[in-house]
Amino acid sequence: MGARAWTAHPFTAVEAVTGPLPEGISSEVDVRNNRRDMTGASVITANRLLDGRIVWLAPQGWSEVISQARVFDNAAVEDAIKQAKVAADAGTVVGIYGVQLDPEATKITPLTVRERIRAFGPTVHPDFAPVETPHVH
Amino acid sequence: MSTDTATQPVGRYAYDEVDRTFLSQRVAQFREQVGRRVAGDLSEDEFKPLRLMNGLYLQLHAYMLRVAVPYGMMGADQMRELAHIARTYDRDYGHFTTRQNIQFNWIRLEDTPDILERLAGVNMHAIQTSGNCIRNVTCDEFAGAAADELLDPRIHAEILRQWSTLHPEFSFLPRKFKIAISGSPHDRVAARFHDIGLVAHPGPNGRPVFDVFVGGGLGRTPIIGVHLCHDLPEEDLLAYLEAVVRVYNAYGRRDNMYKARIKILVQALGVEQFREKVDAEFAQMNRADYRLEPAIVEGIRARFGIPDLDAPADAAQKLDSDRKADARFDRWVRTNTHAHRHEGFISAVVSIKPDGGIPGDVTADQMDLIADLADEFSFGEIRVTHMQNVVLGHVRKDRLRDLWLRLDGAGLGTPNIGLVGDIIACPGLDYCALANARSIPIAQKLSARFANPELQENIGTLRINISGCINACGHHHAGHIGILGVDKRGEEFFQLTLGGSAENDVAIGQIIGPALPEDETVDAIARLIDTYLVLRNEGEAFIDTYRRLGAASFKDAVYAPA
Ligand code: HEM
Ligand code: SF4
Repeated sequence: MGARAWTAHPFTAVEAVTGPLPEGISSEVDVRNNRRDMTGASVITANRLLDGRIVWLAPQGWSEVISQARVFDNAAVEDAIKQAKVAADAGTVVGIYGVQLDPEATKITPLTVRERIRAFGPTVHPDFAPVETPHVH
Repeated sequence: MSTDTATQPVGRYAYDEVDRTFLSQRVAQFREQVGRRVAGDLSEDEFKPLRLMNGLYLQLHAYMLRVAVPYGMMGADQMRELAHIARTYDRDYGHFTTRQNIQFNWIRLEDTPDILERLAGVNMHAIQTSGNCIRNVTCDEFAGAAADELLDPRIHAEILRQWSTLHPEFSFLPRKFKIAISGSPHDRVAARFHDIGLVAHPGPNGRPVFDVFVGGGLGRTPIIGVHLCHDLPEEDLLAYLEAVVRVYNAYGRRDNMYKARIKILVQALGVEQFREKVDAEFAQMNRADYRLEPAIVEGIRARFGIPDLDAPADAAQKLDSDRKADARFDRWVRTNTHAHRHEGFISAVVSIKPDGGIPGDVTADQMDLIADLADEFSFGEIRVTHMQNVVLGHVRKDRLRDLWLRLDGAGLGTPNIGLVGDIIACPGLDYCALANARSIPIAQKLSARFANPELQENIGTLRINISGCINACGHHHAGHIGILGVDKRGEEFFQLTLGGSAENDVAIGQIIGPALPEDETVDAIARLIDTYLVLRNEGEAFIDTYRRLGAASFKDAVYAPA
């Protein structure tokens, strides 16, 4: 056995301790991302639990591409978010929230840079853009 | 167990059975936790602290795994494992951070237990790379090699790693806690921008003593650390640090996340009162329990492999003639090397900032090449720097040109260390869930614009640091030119700060004026640099011209385009 500087404390079981959530991320989605105007349209998004990939609420289930997303009037989106959070497949995703769309755009395009990057991939890696041959599930 | 330093990994601590057993138990525990989460037995709120304690964040596009590189030191075998992980579980690359970690951006939750098991196989892990605990202790990238070093800080960095790992009292501090340690009078660890910064030098009895700085930090409230203790004796190092962290744990604010770092406490109490509280805690501790005896320190030192520094007598001469024969090589030696304590050796900095590239990103193939080159040229030892570059610490001078040819052939020979192209940038809005704006594209445009190596050398030392939000992961306040991304109604803007430094001339950069739109930022910085070239005195660095003339001379250049 080699020398050790410190043997005084035993390994603690991580689950025995609870406390504030680390690292600046609250358990609720940052309000910045969930903001929207009274008028206009939105889509609903989340990250998939198993692989963390971004998904969009589609007419059936969650899709990997925003072009498949179901578009809601902003007046209806709060209710739709609530429903998505209690739907049968809600456990397969994390962090459900609404994303305001750009009314000027011809295809489904989020209004903010952040959500455009989520929808179309990191701007510094066009090769990592979500593929347009989606399977809805 | 052998304590023969010839068979130990060079430059880092050799794990023993206790370390290995703990890591494999920890992986098994996390595998079970992931299983319960996937089965729906744990909610996301229950599971999140557990995954964060294992370095797994949920970022913009996927999970991100942050793997610790303790005090920046790793071996070729470990780098090859990182390459394997990048190739198998990610998208063929990883990102080196300013805190001597590596981040993988496209990780799946379901793969993470396997990844952690592979990491444990090479004595690596992701523990305490997140959460309100004592994080990876960072260290001078030239430790144990630099000519200007007074003592090798890695032994004490390892002691601090052992002390802080799973320290039960410090698992839920008010906020994260970052320690840096240096053994050189030249600050290469940003000691005064850390929660605790330690600067070691030999004491009167031949044992190390430490200058202790406390309460430095960047983020929303940038503060330069204050000098708390002069020449702390080695034997009291753990007791004293424990007293400091206890005072923080007891009095640090928990009601407001933005006021929770130790820097806020030190400012609120004032350094005198803070020191009194630390001294009172220290005085009532059972110091015998904490005493760091020379025998313990030497036991740790014995588990570090030592490079056999043996070079031919004409090694330095050979380097001189290689330099005379090849101007491109000569330039790279000027910019990308650091003087070694042994006259036949030199430290080489591998720039991870190719012209127009993404600072800190390394492909799996490059990782494998770096591992091979470390084996061939530097005793299998690799260092990750707080500037997001890689160092091969002990290269024989007569073999430096061979190394450079191999690096250059693989796009890793960019001669820009400390120059305009050596930009620090956080992942920003392209990856980070907390970001306001993209850092990487600004870094890429700047580095492409100033790619010309003559131009870069002519401009001279210039540190450009970019953060995508006020959390300041890119240390923008510490840059000679700092760039901070801000969000205005969902669009990206960038605020410039001037005059910061994380080195001996430590300073916090000052905001020069209103934030600029994304498409004007790079041009504004180019005008700023042009202005410096006009205004500078002979041989004067950007930071010195700025200090001599003040912000006003540069403001016009930024806001009044020609
Ligand atoms: C992408 C995921 C990341 C997240 C979510 C994140 C989050 C944060 C947050 C919330 C803080 C502020 C903490 C506080 O002031 O209390 C912080 C600070 C810091 N981060 Fe990150 N960070 C990330 C990536 C990085 C990277 C890639 C680097 C290195 C390039 C880095 C280096 C740092 C450093 C050095 C600080 C300390 C600044 C200070 O002294 O306040 N982080 N990070
Ligand atoms: S500075 Fe902000 S944007 Fe950049 S990595 Fe840190 S938290 Fe993310």
